[in-house]
Amino acid sequence: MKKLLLYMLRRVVLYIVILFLALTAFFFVVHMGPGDPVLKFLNDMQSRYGYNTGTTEQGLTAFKAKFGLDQPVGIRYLRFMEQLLLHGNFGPSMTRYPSNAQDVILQAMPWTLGLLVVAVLLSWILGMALGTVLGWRRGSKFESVATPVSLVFSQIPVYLMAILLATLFVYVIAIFPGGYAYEAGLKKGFNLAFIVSVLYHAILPSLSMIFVYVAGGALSQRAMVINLLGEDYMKLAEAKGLPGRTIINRYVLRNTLLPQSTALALSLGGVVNGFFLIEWIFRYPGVGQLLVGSIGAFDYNVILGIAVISMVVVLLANLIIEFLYPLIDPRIRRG
Amino acid sequence: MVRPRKVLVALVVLILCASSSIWAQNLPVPRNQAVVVETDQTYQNLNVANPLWPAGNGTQWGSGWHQVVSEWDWYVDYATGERRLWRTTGWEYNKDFTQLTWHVRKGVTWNDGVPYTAQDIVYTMNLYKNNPDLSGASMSNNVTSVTAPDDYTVIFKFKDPDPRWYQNMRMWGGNYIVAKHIYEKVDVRTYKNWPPVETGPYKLLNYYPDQGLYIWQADPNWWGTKVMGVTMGPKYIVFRKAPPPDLDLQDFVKGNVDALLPHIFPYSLVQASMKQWTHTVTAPYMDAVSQGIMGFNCALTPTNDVKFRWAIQYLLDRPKFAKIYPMADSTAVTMWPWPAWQSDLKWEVPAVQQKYGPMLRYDPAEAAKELDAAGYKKGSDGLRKLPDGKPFTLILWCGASPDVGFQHANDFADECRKIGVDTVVKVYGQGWTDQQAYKGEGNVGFDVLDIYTAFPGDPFQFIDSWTSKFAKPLGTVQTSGDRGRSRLQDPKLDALADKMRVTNPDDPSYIGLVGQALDQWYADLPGVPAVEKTFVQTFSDLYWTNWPTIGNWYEVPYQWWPSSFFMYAKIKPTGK
Repeated sequence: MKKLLLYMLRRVVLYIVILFLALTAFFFVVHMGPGDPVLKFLNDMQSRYGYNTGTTEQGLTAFKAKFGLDQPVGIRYLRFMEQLLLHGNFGPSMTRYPSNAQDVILQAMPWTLGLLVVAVLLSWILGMALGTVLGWRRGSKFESVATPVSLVFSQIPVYLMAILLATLFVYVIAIFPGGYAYEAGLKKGFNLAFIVSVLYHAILPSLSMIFVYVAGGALSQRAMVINLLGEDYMKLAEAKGLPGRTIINRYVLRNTLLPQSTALALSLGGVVNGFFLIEWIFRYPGVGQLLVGSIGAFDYNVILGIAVISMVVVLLANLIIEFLYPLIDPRIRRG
Repeated sequence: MVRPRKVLVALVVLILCASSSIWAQNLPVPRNQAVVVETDQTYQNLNVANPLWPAGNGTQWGSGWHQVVSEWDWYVDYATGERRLWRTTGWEYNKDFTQLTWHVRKGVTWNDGVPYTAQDIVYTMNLYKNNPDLSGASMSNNVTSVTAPDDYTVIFKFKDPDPRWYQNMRMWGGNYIVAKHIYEKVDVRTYKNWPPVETGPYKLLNYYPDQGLYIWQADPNWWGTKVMGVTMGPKYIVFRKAPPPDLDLQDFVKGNVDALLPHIFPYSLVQASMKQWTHTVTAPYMDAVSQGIMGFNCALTPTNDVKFRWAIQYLLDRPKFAKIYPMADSTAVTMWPWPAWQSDLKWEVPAVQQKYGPMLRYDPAEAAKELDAAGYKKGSDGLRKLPDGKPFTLILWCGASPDVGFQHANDFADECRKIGVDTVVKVYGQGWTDQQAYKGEGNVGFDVLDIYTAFPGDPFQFIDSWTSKFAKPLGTVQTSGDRGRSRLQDPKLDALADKMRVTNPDDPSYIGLVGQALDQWYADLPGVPAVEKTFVQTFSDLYWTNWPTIGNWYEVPYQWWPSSFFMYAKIKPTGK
């Protein structure tokens, strides 16, 4: 038990160090990239609307000072870390002033988390289930169709899947809404109409992810199952006359759970990025939409805030999975 | 026990029944009473409409505030050239243009019922004077005092003669007048002005931040109906953020949007929509600018040599650019930096046209000849060298495809290479490349030329924008937008601009001055117009008809313009 606790503590410390280093690197990449957010904003206004904002040098200076953009990048970094660590604050949002960046992000976060967590978990569970069936029933008619279909679907980028589903089910067959998180005009809250609307609007965005990741997960699970079926203990289990369901639960799934958990942890970063594109396509009011707009406008504090939260979420998920390892595999616990 | 198959069938039937008006469920007002306008602004500030602080501008442009809620004191109908006095009944100057008397129209009200008066103008101008960091504050730089002898008269006094100051109160002039009774009680830098208190024809009904939807409702008490006899057609105007282009096309041909945004809905999709349904109405119209070489870098070798500039301008193939214009079926060639709007035709000075027009033509042989004569001869490697024998590479800047500048730049680069000028094309966008362009690291920029002549109908600001006061040294980021982009320093042009500054543009002698300035500008050639910029504004006539279009240009058709509410006063429901 003491060894386990020490192991966990070491992992936590390591992840904190990783977070700090990643955040520092990202901060400097963002702030040192050439591009003046204030100037860009004003030029965008001029070029789009053919209109001179007439902002003076004083206006530019005051605006920059408000967001700390008049300071050298080292000072900006120290200020950012100070307000983050001591005040839990990412600073003001440039494009949504006077709102703070974290308020803006926290407003969008529930939409992303709700959809992403459900879609990721569903994809993982369904992928494993389908892959197990495909591996167990290899050579069957079902497997001969489902495997190539899975191969195709797994190679479709999630954003393309989103556009395909939207075109088919929003405009051709027209059974799903084309965007947003719920119907405008509904009262947000714990009421049936709102909940049904949210679920209804979530179907296509989540399916865009689920189709692709279930397919990918199924293929990897199928490969692992086929590998396992050749093991001696599997032959012994069959020879003992154990029912198929028992073999799958007791031997197959338990042995594939660990590598599949690792695969999930490793793929989280890419999954989150792909999801941001889905949000953009469906105009889903989550962090992805916010990030796309903030990058376009050089809203540094919002970009950094989203990066911090994304890093924390991904690292935390990895940490949780690592902590689950000893539960999944007793050999790790004893080791 | 219910069989699973029956449950599945029931579910499918339920879904199909629910599918009948999926989009309508997402629009909380009757579709046939609403005009749905699309925008591409990511609603940065969802509930801020304060024009004084730059961060509030994001919502303003993309939410409908700019188009149907806020107003200006006067407008120009650029389609007809007619001046439209709106919240003002007129103005007059004293003899030496150091005093401007402004007359406020009686009966104008803010949408909370409070009258719009001279006090609002005085308050706003003093706000600008006391807070030079506010957006638009530079308009007050030359104003020494502003007073209101009564509620409908404002007297501006200027430090230096300013015969054009009245343009600041025009649509897109730069001056926003805010409600004194509101703003004097708040912190103007954090005040949200939400819901907006303005004088325009629409008020906020609701906004849905999670959907990026703004719904504006026609104000039954709008002063414009009582005083000017103008009534809005649609009861509601809905502004919504457009989906990606492929889905946007589908939305359009299903009747979910009435006014597209040409900046994000390319002409190829307009053509695709015409194959899918019969309700596409196109309104191709000249924008306020022309396109071509928006600026030579007159501080960087070799484009700092006027002979080099004049030589390579022969490589611009205007007829070709006009024919294969990606944003419309075609556009018009031009030698002028501004559009051929009624209000601007008088500035096409015949003497300038006759002198320079014939030289502004596509003639690669002439380009090669003039480059040779100027000392830019070919070396043994087939590439031209500077007069001192050193090699050079011409750097062209442009926006990313499908920007028209991208096409022009690449075509121009091909022409340059054919006659031995080594050329590279760089695309500016965000960040790194923007910085390089703004610091003057390129020779030739391809984009729109001028935004300053068309709106005031006066070339002064255009000429002024090329004067040396805006020219920053190479390596310094230019912060003045279009101004100073060429880094030209010509004392003659500076002097002419100074004379124009203090001359009344309505004075008969002004046209002579304009002629001289244009002559000098073309002699310097810091930029080269090639074609008119044309947008194809696209509408749907499924729910609304009588859009301004070919043969019916009662208004400039652009849905993103602040004068677009005049268009909504003329459109009619189809009865669908």
